[in-house]
Amino acid sequence: MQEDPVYDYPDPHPVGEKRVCPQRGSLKSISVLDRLLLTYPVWLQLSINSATALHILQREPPGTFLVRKSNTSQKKMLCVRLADESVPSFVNGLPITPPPAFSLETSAISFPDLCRLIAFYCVSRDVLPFTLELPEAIAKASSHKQLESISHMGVEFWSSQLNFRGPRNGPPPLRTRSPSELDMGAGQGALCFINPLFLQDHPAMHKRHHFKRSVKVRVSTENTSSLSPPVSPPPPPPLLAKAKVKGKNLQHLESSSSLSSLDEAEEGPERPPLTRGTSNPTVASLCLPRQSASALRKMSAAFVSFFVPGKRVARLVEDLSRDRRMAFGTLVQDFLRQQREVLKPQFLTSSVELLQGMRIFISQAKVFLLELPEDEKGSSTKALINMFMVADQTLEKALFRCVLKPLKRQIDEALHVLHERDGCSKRIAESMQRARKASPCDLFGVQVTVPDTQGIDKLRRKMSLVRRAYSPIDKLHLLLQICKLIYKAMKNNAEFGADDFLPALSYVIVQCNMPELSVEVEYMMELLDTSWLTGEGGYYLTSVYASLSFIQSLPEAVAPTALTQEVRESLKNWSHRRRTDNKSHKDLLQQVVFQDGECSLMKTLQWKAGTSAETLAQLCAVKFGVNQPEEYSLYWRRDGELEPLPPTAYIQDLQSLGTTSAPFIYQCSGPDMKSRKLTRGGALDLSAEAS
Amino acid sequence: MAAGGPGSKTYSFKVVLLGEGCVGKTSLVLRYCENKFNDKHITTLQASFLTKKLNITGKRVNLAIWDTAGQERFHALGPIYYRDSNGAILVYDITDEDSFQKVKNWVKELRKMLGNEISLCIVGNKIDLEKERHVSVEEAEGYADSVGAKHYHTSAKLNKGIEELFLDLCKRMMETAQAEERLRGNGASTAAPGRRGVQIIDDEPRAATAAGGCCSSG
Repeated sequence: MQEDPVYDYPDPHPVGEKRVCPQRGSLKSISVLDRLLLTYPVWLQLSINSATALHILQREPPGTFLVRKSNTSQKKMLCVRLADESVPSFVNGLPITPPPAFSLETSAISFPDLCRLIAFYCVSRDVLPFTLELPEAIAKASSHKQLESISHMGVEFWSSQLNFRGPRNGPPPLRTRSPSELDMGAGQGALCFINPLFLQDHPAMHKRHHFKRSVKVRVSTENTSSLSPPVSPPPPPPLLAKAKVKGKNLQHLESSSSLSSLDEAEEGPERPPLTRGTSNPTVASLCLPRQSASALRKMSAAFVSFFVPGKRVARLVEDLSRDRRMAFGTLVQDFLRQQREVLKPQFLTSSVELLQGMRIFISQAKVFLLELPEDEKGSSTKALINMFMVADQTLEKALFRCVLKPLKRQIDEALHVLHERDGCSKRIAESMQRARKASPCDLFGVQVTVPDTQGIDKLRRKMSLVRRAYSPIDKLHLLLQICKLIYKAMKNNAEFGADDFLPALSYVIVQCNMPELSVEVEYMMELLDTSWLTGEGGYYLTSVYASLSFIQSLPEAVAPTALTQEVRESLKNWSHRRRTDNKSHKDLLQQVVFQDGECSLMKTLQWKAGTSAETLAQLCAVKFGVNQPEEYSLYWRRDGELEPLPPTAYIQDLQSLGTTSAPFIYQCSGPDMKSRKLTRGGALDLSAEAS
Repeated sequence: MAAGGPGSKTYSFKVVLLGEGCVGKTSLVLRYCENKFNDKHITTLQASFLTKKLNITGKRVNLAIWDTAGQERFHALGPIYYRDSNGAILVYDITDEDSFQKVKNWVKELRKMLGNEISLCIVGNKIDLEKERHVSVEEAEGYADSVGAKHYHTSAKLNKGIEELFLDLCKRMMETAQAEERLRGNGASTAAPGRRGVQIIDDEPRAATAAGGCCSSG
């Protein structure tokens, strides 16, 4: 442990009994994390029962592991092979707590995803009797190809020839790899992340508090697979050693680094596609004390890689969304192009309609992404989704990035124009002004301490950050920060309910004098998925909305009144939309390939729920500009054969027949119809067009 | 249910807390949530929005409790808060006849706006001040009965009747949700959130906003 203090190993063992470390030599370029990622079909066996797990692990050396799902508790279990003489069994099953933070139930350390958890326990024991061991074939594989072929075997791997096993009756490897084995400073080798953000206060932590003091940070610098995380330059470790890793700062950091949309929103919308391996994520360090800002910024760049599951997915989705050769790319790019037109002032109708259109598209695109056929490169996205059990939230974020970010400027302008036009902006600005004149404390019946001038300034700055973010999720986080600051100002350690909070919030809103806040609230309410609106964020968003309504209903509100008719109406509509939201998702975004002679063209069309295939065919005729629609029909692939699509078929019929999301073919139905050998959309060289 | 076994579903309910200022809404809900306070919340130890996780007959229930401002001037904001609620707790002070009147107004409004699908609880708080009671037990219980609500007596101060109140409410909301599920024909594929935001989610629901963006802005 006399090495660099940054590397802190909780299980120091004599380096003496070293084996040949599988991570050395030419193999070092594949990190443990990547090995795990590439071979998860081998070790992630959610469907097997405990008997099968025992059976598999029985023949393996101690330290070998599997992850399965318990039928009784529905929890994932890490099953570790112990020494033969272990009681009560030679296999120990440890429950893994479910997302958002993965951890072994007995441990205080949690991880953002399962893979990271396993990778960690491959190098560190923590609560385990010893570290996890990858099967030798996986640990020694020297190329991605090898790993992939292992991966293809899935559970078969365990019983295959490839799985040569080490000496079975040897002493359990009660050792961990030493720091020198792990990494020799070149930024390569075994990889271990401990995310201090996920460290929790826990009795067990006190035993291992040295864990907390110095945090081991390794950033992968290799760029070996498509699954590699976006690479950021490895931070100089000494910086981290110096930085005080305290909960508070980290929380702070987290709150800023997760608001990536702030920085990104400032980039030009035409930013070239990301090239993996060269990006250098920078992170806004909001409201940090100036002197520490730069250090923390560097540090946060390192931490960005801790958010890899989300980031990876986001990047993958973003890359996909830009690639017009891919169905998903076509879909998103067409939508963006269409929106750029629609968002021009002369075409604008209502803000709700505009935002709702975006919301529906995002929901549909999400469904589309999840149903991508395997060969559409979607496979890697799918693998990631499976791997990290990616939360819906992550996909949602990724889609906001693909759709809202490029349109940020236009959307802002459009909303501005619309609210100027309908007089909303003016009304709210005037109400705020009136309220400010009429001594807001009395107006709202404020009974608590409210933020002073400085406090208000700070809050106003936060509000302008809300405006800068493109992601409604980031906006919501900022809004929560604003609410927290208001609570903080209330002081005296009491616990405040809405009786105290709402007046204080209204006071702050009026004092900050930022009428644009109402546009932001609308943006969040319309674009956030319902799941966001039922939690804490939803509550405080509702409070801001309520507060803005109240301010607008003044001065009549001095006497008890009802809400303005307008607010009531919009509430009703909003509720109604939310309820019908799910139905509208049932529309299908269907790709159709138009085959006419040598020409082929693909479009993505919306097949509305409740309409028949015939209607879709009519739509095709229009979209592809066919003169004799009666001569053309829709075809689909079923069991590899091209069959006519029954004109009376509905979406649900298709789904019950178990179709894939392969494109339909729209072509001449005459007798000379050539049954071409059609490949799937992704492989076709198509000049897709906006539909 | 058979495949997933009991406990594979999580119910998420929204409960709105209504009642005049000073009737003790806040203390009531704080009392209920204080033992297992969810420290992941951003606004730690504030009582406007609280959550509670329960396990009722093997089913996980997540309660989100939305407090409202009870002052008369904010009365009109009610609908903004109570829409999509699965349950409402209407609190009055047994020593204050007026506050009971307010509860009656709320009941009328809720029934009108949300119909019978919202589970209503009328709660007479401050029974530690029994001597100063101004609302008779018979009147209160009779009224509750007449509007299809349940009546409870509580004391936030003495921690009386509170567990019972919430447990009972949860059970009723579960019944409503299950009835709704049956209505939808148990279609597993259409497990979309039902009306009024009853969400039936497999596995743990995410800690929504709280987990992601904890802030401790200074």
